[in-house]
Amino acid sequence: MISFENVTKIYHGKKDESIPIVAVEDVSFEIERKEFVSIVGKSGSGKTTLLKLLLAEQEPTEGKVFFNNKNVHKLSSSELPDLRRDIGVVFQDYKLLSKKTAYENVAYAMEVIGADEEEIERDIPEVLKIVGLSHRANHFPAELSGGEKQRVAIARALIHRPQVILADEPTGNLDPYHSVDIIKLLKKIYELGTTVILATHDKKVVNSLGKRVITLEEGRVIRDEEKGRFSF
Amino acid sequence: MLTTFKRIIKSGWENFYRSSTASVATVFILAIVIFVTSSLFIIKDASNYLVEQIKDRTDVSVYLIKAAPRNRILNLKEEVYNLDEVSQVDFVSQKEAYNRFVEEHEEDPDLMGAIDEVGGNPFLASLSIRAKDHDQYAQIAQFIEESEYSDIVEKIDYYQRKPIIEKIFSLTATINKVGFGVGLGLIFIFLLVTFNTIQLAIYNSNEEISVMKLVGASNWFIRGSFIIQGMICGLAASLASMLLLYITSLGLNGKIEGLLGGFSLYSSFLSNFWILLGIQLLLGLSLSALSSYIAVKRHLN
Repeated sequence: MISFENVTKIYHGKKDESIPIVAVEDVSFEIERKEFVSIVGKSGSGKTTLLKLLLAEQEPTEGKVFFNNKNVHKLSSSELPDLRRDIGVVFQDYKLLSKKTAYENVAYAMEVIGADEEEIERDIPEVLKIVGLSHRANHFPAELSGGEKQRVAIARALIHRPQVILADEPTGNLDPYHSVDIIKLLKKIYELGTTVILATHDKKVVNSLGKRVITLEEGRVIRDEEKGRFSF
Repeated sequence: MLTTFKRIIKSGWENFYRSSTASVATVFILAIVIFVTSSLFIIKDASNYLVEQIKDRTDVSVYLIKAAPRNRILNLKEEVYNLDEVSQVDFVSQKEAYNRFVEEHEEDPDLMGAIDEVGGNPFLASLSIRAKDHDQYAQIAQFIEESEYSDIVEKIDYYQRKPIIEKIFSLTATINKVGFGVGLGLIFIFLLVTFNTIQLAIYNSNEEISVMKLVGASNWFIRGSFIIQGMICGLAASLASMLLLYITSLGLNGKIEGLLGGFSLYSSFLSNFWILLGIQLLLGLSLSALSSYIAVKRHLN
């Protein structure tokens, strides 16, 4: 389903373009349907870069990234929205639209694909119920706690029934109580049949999952274990 | 398609009223700029009025000898009137000239004393001629000098008035040119201010635009809502500017009327109402839409 083939991404320093910064180097792995994969590593190890490459937000310097057998970096700009509807994304900083309520944030993701009003009115209460936010539907992001914002982001990522959920440090801004809640929610989504890719440096979270773990260090894959643990 | 269009409009409207502070600031700046630009039309009206007033007051007088027979004077008047260059010819008899002088200067004992001193009626009969265009006075004067009636002409005061007439008309021509230049300059400033104001408003939405892209919104869906938001700002600014013009023209009408010798600011506003409204809406809507399009394009890229 997802395949990274010898992917390298090199940035150039803003001050001095001649100094290369290697974000990921010669990374190769595959992820099958209905897998729960944690990508772990210290800050700056390349986790977020891998997710950005999969979303075609960034171009690799070398190598190829495939989603459903299509090279995501060969997609035209009109095909990109389709890719991003198949991949739901949850960010550490939530990335909600500040001028829209929780309901509208989720609805926006449906509106942009041309879903009809009936569908929107049917699905959103359902997904807000799944993430436990029915009572906060009409609140703006500024009126929600960190955990609630992350739930809205998950609801938004789920609304298209995507094939994959990418969660980039989803618990990074949350207290332990809310972190457990969010991970439980991601597990529930995985059990309902969605592939989940979790990028995190939260040791407890990874060890509690007992799922596949890909470990990155300085942009390289140093371990890929079926039932891995967070260890350096 | 229709649903998407409705959603884009709804989203643009929501962006507009939920960012009320930024929207009010944008509308305020745009309204001021549109107001200044539209005022040019009223100023142009006032300037045309002034030029017409000056033209109306400009003429040359052909003074006739005292012994000139009345039938020859009337023939001369007829021939001058038949010239293409002439718009009006009035005959002023000796008596009328005297009466006019007395009427104008009866409060001035020195002048009235001088008239008494001279004794009788020292004024000459004259033809007061108004040309269609100011540069035709020379031709008219030449025609009279070379005509068969030159013997009854005492003098033509064109040559004394020539420098003043030319100065006045060169001044009005300069005013028109300067007005046109200032107008062009203001329109250019209008373009710059509109573009920068809207770009600044959209600049703060950079993060939002990237989120919209990430959740799968097409470029046109994103762009559309910002264009609608910009157009709502343009529409509100045009209407606000129209209201401001109405209040200004009503409030300053009396003063301007006194200053410009009868020019009514309010009447000018009313007679240009639809043109002004049309131009303001066209400018407000199209420029804000175009500015939004360009500003969002940068973020989308």
